[in-house]
Amino acid sequence: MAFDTNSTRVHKLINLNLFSGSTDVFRSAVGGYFQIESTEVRQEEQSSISFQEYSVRDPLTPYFDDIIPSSSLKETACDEVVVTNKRFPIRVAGNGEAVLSDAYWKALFVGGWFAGEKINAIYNENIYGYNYFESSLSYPKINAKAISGSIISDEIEISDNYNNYLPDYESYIGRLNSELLIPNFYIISDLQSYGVNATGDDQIIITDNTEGNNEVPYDKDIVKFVTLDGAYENINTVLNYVPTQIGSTITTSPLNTLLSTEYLPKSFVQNPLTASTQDAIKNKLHNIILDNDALTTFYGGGDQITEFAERFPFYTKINFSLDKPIGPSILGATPVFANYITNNEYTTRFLKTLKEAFTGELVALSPTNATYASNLSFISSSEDTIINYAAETTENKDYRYVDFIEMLAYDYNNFRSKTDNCYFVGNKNIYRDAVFDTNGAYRYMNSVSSINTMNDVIDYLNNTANFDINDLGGMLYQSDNPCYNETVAYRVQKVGGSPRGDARTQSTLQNYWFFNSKDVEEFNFIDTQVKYGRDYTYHVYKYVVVVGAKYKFSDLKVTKAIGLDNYDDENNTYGLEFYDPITDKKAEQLQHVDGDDTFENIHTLGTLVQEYSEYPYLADFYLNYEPSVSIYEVPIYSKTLKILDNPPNGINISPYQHLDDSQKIGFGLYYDSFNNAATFPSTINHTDRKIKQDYMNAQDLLSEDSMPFESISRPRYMQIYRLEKKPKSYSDFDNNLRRTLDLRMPGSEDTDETYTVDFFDDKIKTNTKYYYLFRTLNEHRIPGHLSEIYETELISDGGYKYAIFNVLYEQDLEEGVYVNPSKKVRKLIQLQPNMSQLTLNTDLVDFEQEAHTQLQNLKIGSSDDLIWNKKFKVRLTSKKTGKKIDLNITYKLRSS
Amino acid sequence: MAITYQLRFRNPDEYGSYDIKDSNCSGIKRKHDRFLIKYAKDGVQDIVEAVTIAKTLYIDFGDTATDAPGAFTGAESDIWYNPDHWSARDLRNLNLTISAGRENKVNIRYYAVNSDKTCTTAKTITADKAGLLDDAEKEAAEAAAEAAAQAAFEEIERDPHATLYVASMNVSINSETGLINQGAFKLRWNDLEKVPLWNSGVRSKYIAIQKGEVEDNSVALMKEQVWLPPVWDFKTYNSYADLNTGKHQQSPTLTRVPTDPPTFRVNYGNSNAPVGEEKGLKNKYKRFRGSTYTTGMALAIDDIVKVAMKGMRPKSEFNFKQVDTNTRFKKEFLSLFNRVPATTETIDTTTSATTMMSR
Repeated sequence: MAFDTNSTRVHKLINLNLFSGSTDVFRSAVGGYFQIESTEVRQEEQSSISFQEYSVRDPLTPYFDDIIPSSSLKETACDEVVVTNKRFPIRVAGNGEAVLSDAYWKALFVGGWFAGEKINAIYNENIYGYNYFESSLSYPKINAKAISGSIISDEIEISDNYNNYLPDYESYIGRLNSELLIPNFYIISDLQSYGVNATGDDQIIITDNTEGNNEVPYDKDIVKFVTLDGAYENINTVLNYVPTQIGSTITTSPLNTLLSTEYLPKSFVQNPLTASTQDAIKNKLHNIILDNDALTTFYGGGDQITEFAERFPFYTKINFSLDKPIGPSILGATPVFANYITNNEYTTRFLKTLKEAFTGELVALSPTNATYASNLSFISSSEDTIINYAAETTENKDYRYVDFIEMLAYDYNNFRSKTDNCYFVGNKNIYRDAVFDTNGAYRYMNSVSSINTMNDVIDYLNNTANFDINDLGGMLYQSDNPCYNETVAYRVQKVGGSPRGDARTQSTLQNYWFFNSKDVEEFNFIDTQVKYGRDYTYHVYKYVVVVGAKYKFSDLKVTKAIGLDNYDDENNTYGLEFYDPITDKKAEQLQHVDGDDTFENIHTLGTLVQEYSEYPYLADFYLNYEPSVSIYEVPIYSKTLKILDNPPNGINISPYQHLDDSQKIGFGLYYDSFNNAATFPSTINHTDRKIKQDYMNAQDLLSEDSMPFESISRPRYMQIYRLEKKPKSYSDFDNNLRRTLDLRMPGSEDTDETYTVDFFDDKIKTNTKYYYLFRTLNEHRIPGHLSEIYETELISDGGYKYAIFNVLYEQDLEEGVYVNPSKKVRKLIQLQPNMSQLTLNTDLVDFEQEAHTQLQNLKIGSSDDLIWNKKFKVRLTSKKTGKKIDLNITYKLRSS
Repeated sequence: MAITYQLRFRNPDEYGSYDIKDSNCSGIKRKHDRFLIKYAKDGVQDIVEAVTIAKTLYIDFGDTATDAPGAFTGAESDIWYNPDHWSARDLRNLNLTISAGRENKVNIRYYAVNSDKTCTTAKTITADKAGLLDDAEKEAAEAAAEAAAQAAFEEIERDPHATLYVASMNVSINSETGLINQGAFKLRWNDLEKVPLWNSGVRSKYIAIQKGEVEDNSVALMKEQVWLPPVWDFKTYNSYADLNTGKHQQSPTLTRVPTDPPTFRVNYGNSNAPVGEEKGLKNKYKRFRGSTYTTGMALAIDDIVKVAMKGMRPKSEFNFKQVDTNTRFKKEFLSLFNRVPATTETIDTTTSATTMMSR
């Protein structure tokens, strides 16, 4: 196994025909197959896959004595095919003791009846694939956190960041009819390195930000989108800080930028895009592609991605490590196919075609859907145990793939663009323009990149150091050499709402496609095109180039004896004659080498049909094979989450009594400071629990994890719950909301200023206990930490009224019904066997023998009526109440 | 007659919004297409009695350039000070916003709204912050501008650009194959951007091309000239579009013969041969790698495509056929097994096993 489950999940994708029981009967007969093994561990059935080795020249089936490949006779099967394709003969030698006759030998290969017994054919000419490969799959962060002493290094995180509360912006985008019209992080970030110039004809052009102010070609629809159809021209500075001066100190903050003070809350919400711009953007941003140049720009150096992202009010983030080829050096191996693609300037075309193929836009290049065994090895645990388990699961799973050679040929043949529903992030250049060419103007650009890549791929395959098959055991029939594979691209699929049905059939809001750039290690994906509080499901896929093989057997020839007695005692050889088992006509053997000691050479009438052999039965057939380079779509992780603000802080309570006859008590409510050690607030009702579930899920928090962040929006409401009966849990306060205080300052409708202190007075009956509970809601109505419960009573002793406030905590709520449910009986009663039950009876023991041999002869107890292994019932009856306790006791002997 | 507005403008660095009142636009639709602007010299903070033309901003709504600013030379206009000129009846506001532009430039955005909707306009212009010059300066400036224009023209010539040429000639077509009869022939290339060259019979053909047709028994070829720095040289290559070469014909490769006017030799090559279309195109693009060339090339090709594709919707046999003459891959040549799907298996491989690792 090339990967370690202590670092990553290890995934094997195995062709079903490599399993025992598949239609590849020959494999099952001779060895070299996967099989399912079941065992029972602690009364639980466990099953896993194992591999039955193929022993070279020692086949499993008793009918075969030997399998002899002749790679020296290897030849090209078809000259017209562009990829290397070969065939060489394989000879199977029959075992004279197991094979009953020539007819039986024939039936073994082609099937049939022999002596009333049906014999299934070992041989067939089906085409089989060998694409078994092993790769790593990142642990979902929540799973990695649950592993005790976790050292998992390969994690994938899908979560959200909520940075800034911009109510007008949130409200506005919530009403947009498409998420694609929301400002996009990558587009705006990219424009920060350019200049902007407004021309006299109301056009805005992007410039190179140099003295020459030269125009940089940029997609005009995108420019209209970000400049709001020209209403906000200086988009290139929108992420700049707006300094805040307090006294003589000037400070900057990612929360105080032109983006958060001008662009989003004002310009964006006040300048709806024109219908034409909306249509163009909804089409183009359906697929956003980050090619190699874009990835290098964004992720090639520094931490600018994170810096820029923090300036956006909220977003979904996906973090994971990009796959790198495994190699002998610490830097890993050099990617082969990714290099071919980049060196031949094929990146943009490749990504676009990949998009078109896997979104079903190309009839001529639709992916093949096939079932494989998906085997996953990983460490499993949960947060309520410190025990880790090594887990392995296998399941039949459908995977989609396209043939890479076919894809290259398609791109070469079809140099005109079929779709335009995508956008390459960054300025226009010849490669990005070329892939949208619909009239052939860029034919050369579009065809030369694919044909050169194809040339490189074919050269790679023609190199026997990379791909070669000389016998069954070299590659096709063993498990230690999974196919070479390399991740070349990734996709993040965004689906609106919770997952429904198959991920491929859901309505996709947007796809991001990006190349596996060798210059990028960690990928921090940012998606700002999301609405607050809406469910989005993200599916992350990787696209893996796998260098496998297709193979089939052909041209079967079997032997029968020449004459009734064909055994040559002198030379210990058999005289055999090859024939075609389908036509029963004589046929020449396949495994013939010039100069061999064959009939042809030793007898004037000999031909290649006849053969001398030490084996009584022979069969020849060709193994035909060719490499198959496929791009597999492998799902890495899926998660549904929504953007949520953090819960607000708790409340400090200061109770008081009105010192008059009003029978009023009151509470001073002071919004508390942030406690970064607190877990998620306790909940009261179903809505709270749903919010908690969504938040914990989005942030990948375990139940004992402390809250990482304070509420971004200000506390807006304070809720006061009241019960007249002592609660047993917080849930009892549900539907007992006494009052909600709005903390918004009067006259501040246009601001988000709110009070952090308020007071609540309540008129209550005397000599009655009331239970009060308080909490804060922020602007998003996310509940904060619950206060302690105030058991409040206004006592009237007939003349003077005074209030008592007792504080109850959560642990005080459970009534002590079973405060002490058990007593240690040993102090009250002890049942001990009589000594006659315990003495050792050695009458039958032979002390001359070794002790362990006499153990069964040793008896315990000398009593005639021994108690061992007998059941007794002891009943205790209370004299006072008559209640009974039955003790069922069995005395057992045990060795220790 | 032009209507001229005068705007007091205290300081060119004092950007802001200004209102201009027009007493002379009573319901007459006028072309508001021109501003003449003059700013105060640096250092002058306010208008004084001896104000000069340099301290005022003139806005000329006239139809010709000669209407202003001469009328205001040497003195402040009464229009500015005399309220009588501001007719309340036909009052209209011109709102003007001036903001900093690039170096030595200001951006001026203006719009006018009239009660009867006449003269309504909204525009943004970029103006020289230093303002207009006096006559002597103006002459010098004009001369300098002319020189600059010439230099700019040359500079433009040096920038990456492309020019579309169309050539035409009568050809003899092999009736059996539909191919142009093979042989060397000369073409006269016509630069469509130079009108006189249209008179050589190409003009009508070009017009026909724009309609998607060329005449029977004639051929229309396109070529591009692409120039990229730093080498002073033009490279010409055959067009992207296939010509009327018949379905069995390889695309032609054009070789430029250095004559005036340039002539070309057309070779019908094999796309797989060491020379030929692919080779030519490869040579064409290989210099363009790198961001500078990429950007330049993209612009150049954009221009070419924009112009060329207008007339490239073929309808007839003899036209810019967009047929692919490359060798196309067929699926049977891609795999020995000719895309026969692998055998489908139905076995179930479900397993599950866990082993306790640590406590």
